[in-house]
Amino acid sequence: MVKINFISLCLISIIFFSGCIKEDDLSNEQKYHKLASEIMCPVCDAQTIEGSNSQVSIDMKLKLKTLVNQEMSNQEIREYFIDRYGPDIIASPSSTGFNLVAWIMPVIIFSLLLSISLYTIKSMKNSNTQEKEYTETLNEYLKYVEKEIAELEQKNV
Amino acid sequence: MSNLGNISLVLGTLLCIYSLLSVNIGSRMKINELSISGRNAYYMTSVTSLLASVTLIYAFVNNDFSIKYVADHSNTIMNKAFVWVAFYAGNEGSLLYILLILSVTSSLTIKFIPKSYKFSSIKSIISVFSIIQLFYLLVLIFGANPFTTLQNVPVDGRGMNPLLTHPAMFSHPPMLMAGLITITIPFTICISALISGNFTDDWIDTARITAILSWGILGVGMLIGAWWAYTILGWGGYWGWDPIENVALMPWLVMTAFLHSIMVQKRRKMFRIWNIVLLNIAFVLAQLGMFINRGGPVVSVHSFASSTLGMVFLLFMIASIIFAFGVFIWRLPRLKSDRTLESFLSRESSLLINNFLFITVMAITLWGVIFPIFSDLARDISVTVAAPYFNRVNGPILLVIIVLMGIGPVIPWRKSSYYQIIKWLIFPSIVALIIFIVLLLIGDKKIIAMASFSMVGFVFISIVQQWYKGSYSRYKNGEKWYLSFFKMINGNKPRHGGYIVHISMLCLALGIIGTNFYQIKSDVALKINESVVIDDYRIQYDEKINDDRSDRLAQWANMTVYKIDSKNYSEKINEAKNKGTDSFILKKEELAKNEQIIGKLKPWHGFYINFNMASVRSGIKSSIYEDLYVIPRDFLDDGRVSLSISINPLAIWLWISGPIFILGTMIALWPNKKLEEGK
Repeated sequence: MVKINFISLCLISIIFFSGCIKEDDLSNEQKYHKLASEIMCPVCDAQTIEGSNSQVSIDMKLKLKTLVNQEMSNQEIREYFIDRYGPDIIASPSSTGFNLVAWIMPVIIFSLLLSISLYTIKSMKNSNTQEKEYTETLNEYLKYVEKEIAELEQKNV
Repeated sequence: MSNLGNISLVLGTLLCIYSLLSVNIGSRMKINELSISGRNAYYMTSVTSLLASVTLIYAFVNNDFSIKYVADHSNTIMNKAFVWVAFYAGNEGSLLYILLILSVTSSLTIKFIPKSYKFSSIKSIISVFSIIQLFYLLVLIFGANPFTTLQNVPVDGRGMNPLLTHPAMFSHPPMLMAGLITITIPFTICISALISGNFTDDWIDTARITAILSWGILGVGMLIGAWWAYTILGWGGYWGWDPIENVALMPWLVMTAFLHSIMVQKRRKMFRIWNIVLLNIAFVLAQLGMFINRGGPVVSVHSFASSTLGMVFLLFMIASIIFAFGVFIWRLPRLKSDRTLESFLSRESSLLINNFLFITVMAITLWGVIFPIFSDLARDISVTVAAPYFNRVNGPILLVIIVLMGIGPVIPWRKSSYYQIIKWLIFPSIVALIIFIVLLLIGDKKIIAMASFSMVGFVFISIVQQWYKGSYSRYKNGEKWYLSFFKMINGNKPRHGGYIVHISMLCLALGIIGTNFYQIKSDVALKINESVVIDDYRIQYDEKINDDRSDRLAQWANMTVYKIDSKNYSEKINEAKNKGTDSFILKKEELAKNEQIIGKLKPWHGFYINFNMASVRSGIKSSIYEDLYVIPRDFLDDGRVSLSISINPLAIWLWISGPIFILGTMIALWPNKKLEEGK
């Protein structure tokens, strides 16, 4: 079991490690493009302003460019757009309040399924060792019986 | 014309009902002739659906605008080659196409399944197929009839959605739809074995082959879709975690898990129950795909087939959940997996972990798709769950899957020791470490990307090492060195086909890592004769060409790409850097001399009047290192063209993975017998 725990620990730590990496140190232009692909176009179906050519998106992109050049932080810029267009303008749910469920659930799904599969492996293995133990004791017993029989036969002779 | 189409649909319905009744009555009353006639009736449904399809295509070819579907999806100036695309461009036609694929592939399956299995379960197979086909027929006749006629026949049709006039459209939608609907076949094969009480492993060969086919078609379909998005949608991306993309990906992931774990059943008679569950889930997810595609409660960029039939497909999905899992639970007490696991360090348990990871990605993706609906219903607040979310939650797990791709295949069946496994992994690990150090030395700071590249190298070397050792031992046994590799592949085609598919996944991973972590983007507006410099490319705008047609206002820009020496422009580069941009514009008099031309670009921009919609063709200059990718946003009134330029590192590897994927799938599918006969 120690081995299994070690492996699951590795898997989980990889997942958490990669979640904790900081946002990159980017030039303003790349920062602008990154944010543009996080902000939804309010008049299109499931498109970000980065990919959309609608007038609203073009205006929003101009605004975004100004904000980035004013050296506002990513979080400040996100909040700026949330204030004006509502929380669903950002392409991923926020990590506060009820929306936290959206982020926690993947961790729950992962841990739950991992435990189920490790449990399955363990129980499949255990039933095997039990069987093995059973046959081993049986064999020992049979050997003992055979020995006794042999002894008895010798006595009879 | 429309009458012929309607008649063939009704005839198909009658044939389905007849075959459903006669195979069941025939087997109950022990009238063999009746059963056979039921089977033949089922074969005939493929003829009637073919007839209906041909009728619709004929109507398109002849511009028969009295049929509403034809008037809505074509016009007289449409290139006639696109008739095939127009056939499935909308809701009604695509349903007819799905019916056609379902009836033909299921008939072929019934014809070709092995006799031993056919004997015990044919009745159930035909019944399940008939019921599913009947559903589509009834939807086509009553809900989405492609042969509905118009009272006032228009002079010309509306034309096809401009986003669909692309070569990828000849294969992407039909392959995707075919992939999704043919999941029905392995599912039916499996569930019929349960219904008919055949608890042997008779069904797994047929199920495996049909599953690989549908999985391969679905995979290639998704990849072509990605290529289409890359060249036409004009957002520089290829995969957006859009709900419609997700519902195609989810069954594919489950099928991938199935194809791995079916090997365990085949070889060790384990995971029997689990494999049935996987096929059930895949089938239900395919129905979820149909539901979301045709009027589900989510917004998507793929609204080509949206309709008001959402409720009908939702009910069918619920019915399929009840049916699939009902049968499963009913038969569960009689299902048993034979053997037990001997060791944690075995191929069996590594495949179990593989299954767990695929199912996790599927479940998380499903959660991302339903969370907005859930939030809307539960608290009336809408949230968006799109690409940034999915990249974040699925990315790490996909990376773990890649790592496992290098470890899993070297673990032997039954049991092994740490020593044995580590021996296989030493060399790949060293290579991975070298890759990481080299990237560190050349100044890369993106840790995740570097780790991902190392893992790709790790898996690649792990596969090559196995191939090398395998063919070397054959060579030592006296085979010719140039034959030993191919003989080894031929010796175990499912295994080595699988490795080739793994390599295609590595190519895909290269493209994904490159474009996600190292992409550089820049927006500029150029006058004629001006150039923009980005990275070490200079793109010069030479002239504007008009391409107006009766249905569109279109232009393209002729551009020349030069390779530059950055020393010539060091001042400008620094200036741009201080401004926070990654590109700058040069006037004609500022150019350095003797720069080498490395290519031409023709980014195209069109506006379609009938659809009030713009469509673009990106100008792409590919090399194996990176793509120079130019999207024309607009041709401005002042004579400038506004462009979105990006450097997409390693993007071409996304498309290289396609042929390798097909090759691997074909090798895994290739039957053993035929080759032996050929020898």
